Amino acid sequence: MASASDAAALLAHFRQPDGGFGPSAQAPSEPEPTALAALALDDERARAWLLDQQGDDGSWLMGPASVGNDAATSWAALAVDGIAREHALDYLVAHRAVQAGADDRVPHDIATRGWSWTPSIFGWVEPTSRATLVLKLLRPAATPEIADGIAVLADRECVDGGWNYGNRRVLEVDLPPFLQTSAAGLMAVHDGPADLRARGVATVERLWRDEQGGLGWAMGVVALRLSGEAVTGHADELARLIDDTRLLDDTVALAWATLALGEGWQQLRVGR
Amino acid sequence: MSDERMDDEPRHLPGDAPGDAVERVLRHRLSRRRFLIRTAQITLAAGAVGIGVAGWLAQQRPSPWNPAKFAPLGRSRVAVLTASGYGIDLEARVRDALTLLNVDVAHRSILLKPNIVEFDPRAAINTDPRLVAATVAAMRSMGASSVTVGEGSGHRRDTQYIASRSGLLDLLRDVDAPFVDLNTAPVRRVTLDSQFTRLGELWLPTPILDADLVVSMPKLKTHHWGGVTLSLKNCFGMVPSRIYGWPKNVLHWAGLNGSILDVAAAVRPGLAIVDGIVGMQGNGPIQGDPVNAGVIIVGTDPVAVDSTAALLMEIDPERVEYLFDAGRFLGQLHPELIDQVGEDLGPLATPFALLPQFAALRIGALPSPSAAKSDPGA
Repeated sequence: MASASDAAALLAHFRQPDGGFGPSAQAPSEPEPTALAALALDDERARAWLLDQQGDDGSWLMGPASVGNDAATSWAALAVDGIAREHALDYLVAHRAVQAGADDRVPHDIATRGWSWTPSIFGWVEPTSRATLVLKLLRPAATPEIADGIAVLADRECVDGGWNYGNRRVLEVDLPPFLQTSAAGLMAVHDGPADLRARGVATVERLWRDEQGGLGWAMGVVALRLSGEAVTGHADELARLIDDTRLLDDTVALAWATLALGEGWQQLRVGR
Repeated sequence: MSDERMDDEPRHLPGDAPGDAVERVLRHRLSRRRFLIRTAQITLAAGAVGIGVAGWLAQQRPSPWNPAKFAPLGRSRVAVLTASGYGIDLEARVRDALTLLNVDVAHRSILLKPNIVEFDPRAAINTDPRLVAATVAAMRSMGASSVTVGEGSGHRRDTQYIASRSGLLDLLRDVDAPFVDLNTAPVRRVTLDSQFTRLGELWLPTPILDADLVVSMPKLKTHHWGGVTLSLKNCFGMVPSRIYGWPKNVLHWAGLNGSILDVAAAVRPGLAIVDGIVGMQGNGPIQGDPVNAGVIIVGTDPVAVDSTAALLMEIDPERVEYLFDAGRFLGQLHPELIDQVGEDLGPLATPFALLPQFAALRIGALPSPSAAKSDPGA
């Protein structure tokens, strides 16, 4: 059965010649897989790639000029240190999502912002979760921004707990949560608020059996570990899935699996 | 199976409102009883003149596309085939359609793009994997050099979950076909040939850009923001979410209808195969109800395919905003210029339920002052 070192070996296999990691085997290096690989493998070459790629504004940006996805900045901030980290945290604090106007078709708390995948649009669960968690870990003094991130997660929480990509209700229909995004949300609230954490744990447990997939399971194990839950069975199932499928060679999923099966997940624990 | 060329149909007449042409085609294709109902609706639809004026005004707008990059529109051909269920010989059906359309796939690399945006075992959200696998087999039997299946889910980031739980991975394993996650595949920058949005360029997966033939394989569905989701809207799943986000919200904020046009014009699927065996009506693309429509719609012009699919749902394609604009430059929208082969559309037409805000899309409906609001972007 695959161990953390097996997952790490699979992940390391996908290192690009420039030291970074792409999202899949043939893809060139990008910020998010490289940042997660740096954390999972405690890898200096990946960190060097990140430092080389950091923008003057402190972010890690990819995509067309008209879009510019900066959502990897949170994980990259955690992966690097020193001035580069502080610069990245400054960017996170200064670049939250925009407040969208009220729309009863997609109701949400218009006072909240959170973080988006790309600047200047609506906030979503996964980028909000990672930015909130990283600020809790590295800049706890950013209390308004952290509170806003938690408020977004509370506002977007699905009716019976957990999260999908970020719409709780559309056209008067309650939408269901997903395992992977519930795990992302749970990571951000693993130290509280207690009610969000409890419902998040319950949702991850409830969805686990039906949503078998490398990314969801790996993030689920990390989220449960952070929340103090027992994960022996989950970790074994994840290990078997790695044996059987190599998680489809998805480097982000492999990085999360490496964090989940070893001790790397502790880097994400608030107050460690 | 009848080869229904519509040579004896009335042609486009000067001063026609868009809806007039649709009605004229349906008069030939729908049953007499149904047509009498439609005629009564049209008689009541005094506002149809308004639609005609709106259409004429739209035609006068500056063209937000580079005319040098798009061939002049001509007649198109669309095949409609019946399929009573997913247990029949779907490979033969697909092969029949390709033969009817004279599609040559020999020695070409093919990328099939089904719709696996989400998964719910109780709902007909996805292009059925059995049709996808059958299409792989049909393409191979007709000499394709390679057939790959790719999807970049717009809602789900865990591709392994959605591709396996939907049954797609198992069936592709059975036919030994590779699956590529378009959300994580390498990308290249593409300058857009149309400017319905301010995106200007897209980063698109190389498996899409490098394929000799991209096949859009949507589910036959209504859509709660766009009216319908068919082969053009299905191209959203070719845009990588790791850049554009889950749920590809940048495209919604740029304008849903404009984004559909810009993405489809960038990708330009060379073939569309609509899974209408079981479709979805009402609050699509996720929360709607299944409809046993029993058809597969195929064509090399995705606009013509979508137009035919809309008619099959008894939706006026010219009232679907993005389809109307697509018909100006990307493909043939007008039913009188689409040669239908295969089955007779009339007996197959099924009025798919529409959300109230899209009631005006129904063939023969009065234009509504409370027509669909734009996509909220969230």
